[in-house]
Amino acid sequence: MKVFLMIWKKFGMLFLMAAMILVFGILAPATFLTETTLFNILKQGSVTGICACGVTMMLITGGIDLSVASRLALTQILTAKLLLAGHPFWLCILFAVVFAAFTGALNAVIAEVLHTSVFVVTMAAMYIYTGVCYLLVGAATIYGLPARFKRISQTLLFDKIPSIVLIFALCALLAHFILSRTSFGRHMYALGGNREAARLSGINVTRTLISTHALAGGFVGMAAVALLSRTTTTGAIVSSGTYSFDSIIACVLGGVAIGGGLGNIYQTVLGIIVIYIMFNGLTITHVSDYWQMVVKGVILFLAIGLELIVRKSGTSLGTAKKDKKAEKAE
Amino acid sequence: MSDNILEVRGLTKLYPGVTALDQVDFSVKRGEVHGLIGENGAGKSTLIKCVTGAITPTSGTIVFNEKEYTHLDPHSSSEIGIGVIYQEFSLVPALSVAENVFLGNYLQKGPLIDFKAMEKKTEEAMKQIGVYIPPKTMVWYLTVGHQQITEITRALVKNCSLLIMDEPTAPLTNAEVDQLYAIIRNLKAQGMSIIYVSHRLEELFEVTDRITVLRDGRFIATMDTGATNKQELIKLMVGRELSTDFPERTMPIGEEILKVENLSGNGVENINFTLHRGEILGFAGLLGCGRSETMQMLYGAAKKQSGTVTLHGEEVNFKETAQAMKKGLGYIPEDRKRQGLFLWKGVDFNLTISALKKFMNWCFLSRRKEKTLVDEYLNKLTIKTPSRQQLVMNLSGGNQQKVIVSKVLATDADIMVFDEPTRGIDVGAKAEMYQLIRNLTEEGHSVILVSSEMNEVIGLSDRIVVLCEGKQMGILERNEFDQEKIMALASGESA
Repeated sequence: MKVFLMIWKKFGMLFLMAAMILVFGILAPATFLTETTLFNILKQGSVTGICACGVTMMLITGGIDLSVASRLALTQILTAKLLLAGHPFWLCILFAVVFAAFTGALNAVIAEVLHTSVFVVTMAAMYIYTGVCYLLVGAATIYGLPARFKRISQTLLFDKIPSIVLIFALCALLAHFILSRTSFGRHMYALGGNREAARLSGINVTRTLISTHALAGGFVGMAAVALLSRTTTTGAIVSSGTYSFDSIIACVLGGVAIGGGLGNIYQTVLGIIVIYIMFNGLTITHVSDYWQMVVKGVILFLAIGLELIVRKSGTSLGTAKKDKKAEKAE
Repeated sequence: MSDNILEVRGLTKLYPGVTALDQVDFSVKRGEVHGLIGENGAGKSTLIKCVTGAITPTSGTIVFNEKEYTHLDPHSSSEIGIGVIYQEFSLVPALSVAENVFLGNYLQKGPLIDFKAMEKKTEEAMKQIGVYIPPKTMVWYLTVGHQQITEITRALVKNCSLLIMDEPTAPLTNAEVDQLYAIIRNLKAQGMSIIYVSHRLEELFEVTDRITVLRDGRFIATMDTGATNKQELIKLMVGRELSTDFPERTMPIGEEILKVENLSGNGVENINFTLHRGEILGFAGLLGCGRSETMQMLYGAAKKQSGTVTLHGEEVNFKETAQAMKKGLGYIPEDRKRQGLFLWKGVDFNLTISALKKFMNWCFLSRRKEKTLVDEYLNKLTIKTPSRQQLVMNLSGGNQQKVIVSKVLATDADIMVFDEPTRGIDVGAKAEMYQLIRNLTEEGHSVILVSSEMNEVIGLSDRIVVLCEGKQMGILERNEFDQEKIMALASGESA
C-alpha cells in the first residue's frame, strides 16, 4: 500500500494523463488524437493555468482564493473600458496587472488586520467584485476592442502554437523560479508549513502573506489580459466563470497540498493539462456538461482523499524509509 | 471495606529512552484530600493520566474501590467513579452550564432532551457544594472560576467518588481560590476523595490531609500534612544525586554584552539580568513561571511593555524576530515541533530558512552555496540524516534539535537562547547537546539556558536566574548553587 502511494504521489498524474489519452483516443481516434486537439487543450487551459500559478502560491502559504474569477472579470471590464477609451496597449496591460495585484493584496491586508482567514475574506470579495461588475456594465457584453489587441493571445507562433500558450508558459516559468529559487518563495513554503516556526525563524509573516497575494493577483491580471485578447469581448458574466475553482482543482489534483507547505508549479501545470484533457475528451465524446461537472467533483475528491492518505502514512516525495527509532523517541 | 479508595501498585510507564514512572506505589484514603507534589517531570501528570486512563501503564495495577485493573480507558474510569479536572477545561463554550454538566449522558424524556430535569439536578448538585451558577448560562460567559465549578459539578452529578484536580488554582484569582478551598472542604465532608496536584506548597498545607512526593518518576514519601513542613517537602522533591558529568569550561568569561533592566510584559514583570561573552546563564523555575515568555520578549517575538534591553552597549527595541536575528540573537524554542520545525520539509530547507541571504546570487538562491552550508553544519554538529533532503519529521528528536540549533547558528548568532533544549530526547542525545552548548561558549558564544531539569541548569550554568509566577526571585552565583535553594525560590519562598 505504502509503495503504491509513493508511486502514485510521484507518477500518478502521468498515469492518469496516459489513461485519459488512451481512453479518449480509442473512443474518438479521428478527432481526439490530432494536433488541433492538443493545441486546443493548451489554449483552453491557459487562462485557468495562469490563474493557477498564483493560486499555487496561495495554497502553499496555507491560504486559498475564491475571488479569482470575480477579480478577473472586474479587471477585464476596466481594462476593456480603458482600451475603448483609446489608451495604449502597454498602459492597459500594466493597469490590469497592477489593479489585480492591488485587489489581491487588499484581501491579504484585510485578513491580517482583522485576524480572519483568507477563506472568509476572499469569499466576501468574490461577492463584492461580482456585484461591482454587474453594477458597472449590467448584463451587457462589451465588444468592439481594437482589432490589434487580438494579437496578444491569438498570434500563431510557427503557424501552430497560439501565443496565449506562450504567455502561460512564461507565467509558469516565472512562478516556478520565484517559488524554488528566491527567498520569497522559500518564505511562502515556511509560512504554509508552520506559521509559528516561520515567525520565530525571522520571517515577517504579514509582509510575506501580503506580497504573495499581490503577486498572485498579478497573475490574475495577466490572465485577464490573455482572456480579453482571446475572446475580444467581456462582460460581468465572466465573474461567474469557473476560473476560481478550476484553478484550485488543478493545483490540488497535481498534488499541491490544501493546508500549505507542499507543492510546486510542475504539479500545477500537470494538473491543468490533465483536467483540460478531460474536459476536451468528454466534449469530443459527447458527454454532457452536467456529467462533466460530476466527473470533476469525483476527481477532485479522489485527489484530496489520496493526498490525505499519503500524508497520514507519512510518505511524501523524496522520503526514504521512515526512521522508526526517531518516531519512538518522541 | 478497605480504607483506601485508590491503590496504585508498582505502576511503571516507559517511553523509549525515558522512564516516566518507576514502580510507583500510591494510595488515597476514602474521604481525604491527598496532595501530589513534585518538580516538572517528576511523573505527576503521568500518574494521573494512568489513573484516568488517558494513557496505558507499561506494568503495575490500579485498585479502585477494591477492584483490580491493569489498565483503564477514559470511558471506563469515569464509569467507575473517577473524575478529573485538567488544567485545560473540557467544556463546550457554546452550550449552557447544565448541558455541559450532563455532556455525553443527557437526561431524556422519550426522544427529547429533558432540559428542565438537567437544570434542576445541576442546581441541586451546586447546592451540595454551596455555590450557585444559573444553569442556563452559556459557559462562554463564565469566569474561569465558574468554569471550574461547572467541571466540579459535572463530577458530582456523575457520582464520582474520586476527583483529581490538576493545578486547580493556577488560573484563579485570590477570591476564587478561597471559594475553591470552601468547595473542596464541602466535597470532603460528603465523603469525596480528592487528589490535589499542585506545586504551590502554601496550598497543600491549606487543604490537604496527606501529601505524596514524587521525584524522577519514583515514589519518595507519603506524609501526614500536619507532620511535615515546607523545608522537608522541598528537600524530598529535589534530593537527588547531581550528575557531575558536564563538560567544563576552559575559556574565561568575557565582557558584558547584554543587559536587561526592568523588563515587563507578556506575563512577567521586572526582569533584570546581564549576560557576558562566553557565559551560560541558566533560567530555572516551575512550569508557567514566565521563562519562555521573557525570552520571547527579548527576541522580539512578543511585545514588551516596559524596560530596556542593551545589546553590545546599544539600546535595542525589537519589534519583530528578524531584527533580533540581525543583531546576533538566536532563539531555540521550547516546542520543537510546533515552534521550531517545518516537519514536512527537508533538513536542508529547515536548516537554511533563516539565513537565505547567505547564498544569494543576485536575487536567486544558489543551490551550490546552500549545499555547502548544509554540509558544513551536518558535519559540525554531527547530524545523522540519510540525506540533505530527508524530511525532518523522520529524524530522531536529538537530531531534530540539532537541525534547529544549526538553523540559528547559520544566522551567525552570538547570543543563543536554548529553551528546554533536551526535552524529549534520549540520554545520549542529551549529553551531546551539553557538549554542543559548551563548545559554543568555548567559541565565544553566550548562552541563555532555560530548562526545567535542575540537573542541567546547575551542571552547565555560570549563574542562575530563578523565576516564580512571572517575578524574578533572585540570581544565584555558581558557589551558591543548591537544589533546595533553587526549589524554594521557584516555589515562591524567599530563601
